[in-house]
Parts: sequence; structure tokens; C-alpha cells
Amino acid sequence: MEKALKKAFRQSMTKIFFVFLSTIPLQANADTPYVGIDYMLTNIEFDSEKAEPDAIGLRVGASNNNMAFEAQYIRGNTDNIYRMGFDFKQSAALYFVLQSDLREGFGMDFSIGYAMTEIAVSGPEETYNGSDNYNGFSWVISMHQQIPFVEEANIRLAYQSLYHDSNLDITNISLGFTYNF
Amino acid sequence: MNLINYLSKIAKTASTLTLLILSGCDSDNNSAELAKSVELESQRAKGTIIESVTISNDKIRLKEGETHQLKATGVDSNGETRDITDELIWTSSDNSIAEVNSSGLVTAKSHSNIDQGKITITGKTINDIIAEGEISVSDVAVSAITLKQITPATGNINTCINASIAGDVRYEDDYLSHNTIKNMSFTVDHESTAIINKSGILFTSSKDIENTTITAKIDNVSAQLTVTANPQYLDSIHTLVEDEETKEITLNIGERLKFSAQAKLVESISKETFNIDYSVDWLQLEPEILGITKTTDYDKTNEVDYKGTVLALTPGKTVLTASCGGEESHVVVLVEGDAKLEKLQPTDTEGQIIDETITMNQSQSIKLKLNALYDKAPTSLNVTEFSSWEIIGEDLIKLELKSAGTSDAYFEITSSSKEGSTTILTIYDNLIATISIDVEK
Repeated sequence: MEKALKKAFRQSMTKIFFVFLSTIPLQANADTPYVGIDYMLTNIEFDSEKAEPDAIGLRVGASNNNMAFEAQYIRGNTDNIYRMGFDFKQSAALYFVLQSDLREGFGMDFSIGYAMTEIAVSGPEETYNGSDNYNGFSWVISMHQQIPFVEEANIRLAYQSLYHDSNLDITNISLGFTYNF
Repeated sequence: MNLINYLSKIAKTASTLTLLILSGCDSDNNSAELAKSVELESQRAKGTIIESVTISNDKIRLKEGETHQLKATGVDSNGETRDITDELIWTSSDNSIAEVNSSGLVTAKSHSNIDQGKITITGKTINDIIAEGEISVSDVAVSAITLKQITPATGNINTCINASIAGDVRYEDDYLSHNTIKNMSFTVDHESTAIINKSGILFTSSKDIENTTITAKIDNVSAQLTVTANPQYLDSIHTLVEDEETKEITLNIGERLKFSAQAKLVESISKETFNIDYSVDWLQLEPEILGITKTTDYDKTNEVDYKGTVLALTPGKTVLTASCGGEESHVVVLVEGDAKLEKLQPTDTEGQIIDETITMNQSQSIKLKLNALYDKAPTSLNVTEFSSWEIIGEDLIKLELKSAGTSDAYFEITSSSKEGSTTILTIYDNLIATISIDVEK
């Protein structure tokens, strides 16, 4: 009972926090919307073993005054640790992004937010079988460079932590494009 | 422009919707179980998954508050044996009597008279292979001790190679504690050159066959065991610096270096090399070139051992000899430097110069050391350990050397219950410094 109450409280507080955050860009004027697509090498890492399924990620955001609000959706493939298959089903995340000024088209961003990642594991009966959600704090550090003659577009390299606990880390390195409207 | 506004609204709406969806979700995973499955699968693939477990160091009686380390060995699917003490999940059958931590360390919590105070400690691998060990917690008195050699289990001890002694202890409730040294005090007979420490490790060094009678005592119950140390299988000994065999080395004045010694037995007996730091004797051909730390605290077997540490004192060439069981190993040591010794300076361990009479209360302790001052580097050298400290006058104080083998070496000076005055004469390299002490009420 106590556990259920704590869970409900945590969910309510999280919801209030995110709704508060979501109002920030809605109040801003002259937003610059952008979309991005990334190829990702994900890393599902345990103490001594790791699975590395690749994935494709889509980003949609709106920036204003070196800040942005960004939503991300990832779909991934499968990789094995011995006989255990790790299927990176999907991940959805929302970030508050701090953006540096551009210097000769180059900039760096740091994002913090919340990510929800679904991974399905399958293998022989004596191993682990099941689909689990790994939800929690997430962060991204990225650098981007404007593409010559196409100032609205830039190429982006990023490192992202989707989930971390004492048993496993879910991270990725991504390379992609962003288009600012 | 309309398109931009439209896209901006889409982005905001998508963000808000994502937020609302995410905020309603909570982690639903079992990462610990998944990590365990991955580790198991990894061990299966590598053939290192444990298929059988044995717990050792059990069948022992503890008193409330005592701790005891259990050990577990496992045989994996490759047939290899390894120490898996830290890999097991340890549990106690009764935590009110004894608890066990994740490293197999048992802590006795309370005495029990039920079933001789016995409880079961269980060790389980991540693939659920189980082994059990027995521990008893009781304060029933000891009725008998039977001493025995643990290593080597039978036959003569190989001189210079550490031997281990323990006992089976029977209690008045008929419980038998196996291979234990708990609460035992060990001594060896006065005629033997061997030394035994609190852990029952016997250090031998005689060049001849030597019998040693070991006495173990718990409360008023004692037992004796006579062992024979024989150097016949000792093949050679070697001197090492930082794990490398060394025949020649150059030091500067003030430089400190730890030498260690290893022994080899004849190949038909063993191909192992044995650390003999506690058994070996260190000598030098030319005295005063090196200061050698020849003593050690034999009970600190798990800590840094400073026996065999040398300090380069004066320029010259000498031969450092490690000797044990009639075998010797030699290292030529060249000490370089032209610093001239100017004077001696007694100080306390805080560096405060002692130039006045020290006043001590009765039964008080102070710490003093002696520095040699040079005209150039090393300018000041702690030579306490290698200087002569003589008490002149009344026998009012006792001196005990501490931290030997380190640059922090000092004498602990303890006053007796008598009043009076005394002087300590410190002599090093033909120089003298005096320390005057008054002992008052």
C-alpha cells in the first residue's frame, strides 16, 4: 500500500515537473523549430559483457535564446550476448537543451531529460526472457557543425546516456543531421 | 513563415505529448536478474560456470564478538579450481547466533547451548550450487588441545620455508573445533632458533637439522608438538629488489631500499619459489656502509614487512648477504655521495629539537629520534635505528625501538615509577649527542 502511494506520488510530481517544463517554450517568441535524424550505435552494458544493437533516432524540437525543448524517438535492432538476444525495441525521451553560441557554424549542446527505453531479451529457457522498460534520468552531450552552403542544416555527433543503474548502462553514440526551419 | 509556425507548433505539441506520456510511466524492469543471467551466460560460454563448491575453514567454535573467515573453492565446467569466496551468496541459518557477510566473514553474535551452539552457513553460487559449513558459537571451556602441522601436513619442515601449526580443540560439551588457532598462545623451546608468531606460523633458519618443541595454550589447557626442520632439500636462496633478482646495486647516501629473499627447494620436492623474508638473516661485509633492519614484527604477516630494508649511510662498497638454512645469496652494494656528517641532533617525533633536559612524569612515554646532519644532501637523515643509545646513570627509563625500517623510526622512552635523573648517550659514526631526562612525580 505504502509502495503504491509512493509510486503515485512520484508519478504525480514527475507529471507536474514536466508540464511546468513544457510551458517554457510555449511562452517564448520567435522559436526556431528543428528536426533531426541520427544513426546510433547503442551500448547495453553489464559488468563484463555488452550488447551493441544499432538504431535510428528521430528528433523534433524548438529552440529559442540558446535553449531548446526536444523530443526524441529511437527504434533499434538486435544484438546478442552469447545466446541471449537484446532487441532494442524503442525509446522515447524529452530533453531540455542548453545550446552554445555558434562559432563559424560550430556549436555544442548539453541536454538533460527523461527517457523511457524498452528492451526485449530472449534466449534459451535457462537464461532471461522478457520485455522491460528502463525509465529515468537521461543526458546528452553533442557537437554540431553547419553544412557549407546549407546554413539551415548541420551535422551532429552525440553521446547519450539513456539509463543507468548499478547493474547496467544504456548509452549510445550517434551521428546525424539536423535541419532548422 | 506560416510553415515555420506550423512546424514549431508541431514540435511543441509533440514535446508536450511525449512529456505527458513519459511522466505516466515508471521503470518496469529487473536489471539485477538480467545482469545475473548475463553473467551466468558469460560463465557458461567461457566454461567458467561453477559446478561444485566446497567450503573450508568451517567446523570451528567462536565466542560472542569474534569473527572468522570462511573460504570457498569451486570447480568450474573446465575442471579448473578457483577461490570463489567472494562470488558466493552467503547466508546464516540463525542470524541471532552468527551473521555472515558477502565475503564469507562470520561474526558471532550470541552464545548458544542448543545443539552445541552449531549453526549452518550456506554459500550459494549464482547458478544455485550450494555448499554448507558449520560454525559453533558458545563460551563452554576448553578441555583438550591436539596440535598438528598444517603445512606441511606431515613429515619434516623444510628449513626457511614457512610452516603452519594449528590445533584441534575439544570443549567440555564435546564439540571439536578443527584446525584452529583461536585464543591460542604459542611459544617455542628456548634452545630452538625458530620463531613462531600469533598465527601459528613457524619461521626456521638453522643450517642444521633442528627439533623445535611448540607449546600452545588456551586458558589453563596446553599441548605440545615437536617438529623437525631439515635444510636438506633447500637448494638455493635469492635476493630480490622489487621482485627482480639482484646481484649488484648502487645507492646514494640517505637512500632506503627494501631487499627481499626467496628460496627454492630441489626440483624433485617443489618447483615453487618461497618468500622467506621472515626467516632470512641479513649481514654485510663492511659494517657502517649500510644500516640494515634485521628485526621485524612477526605477527604482522599481512602488513608491510621492513626486515631487510637498508639505508645507505656512508660512501663505500659492501656485500649484503642473505643467509638461511646454510645457504647464502650475495649482493654487491655501492654507496655513492660526498656529504660530510657535521653533527647529531636529537628531536622528538614532531621535529622539535631536544637541547634542554626533558622532564617526564613517572610511568610516562615520550618518542625521540636522532638525526644526522650533513653539509649537503641528504642534509638530515634519521639514524635512530642505526645509532647506539646507552642509558647512563640510574635505571629509570626503558627504550624500545619503533617503526624500524622506515624514515620515521624512533625510540619510545618509558619512565619507571622511580624519581631521579638519567642521561641517554646517543652515538653514531664517532659523534655523540646526549639527552638528559628528569623523572618527577
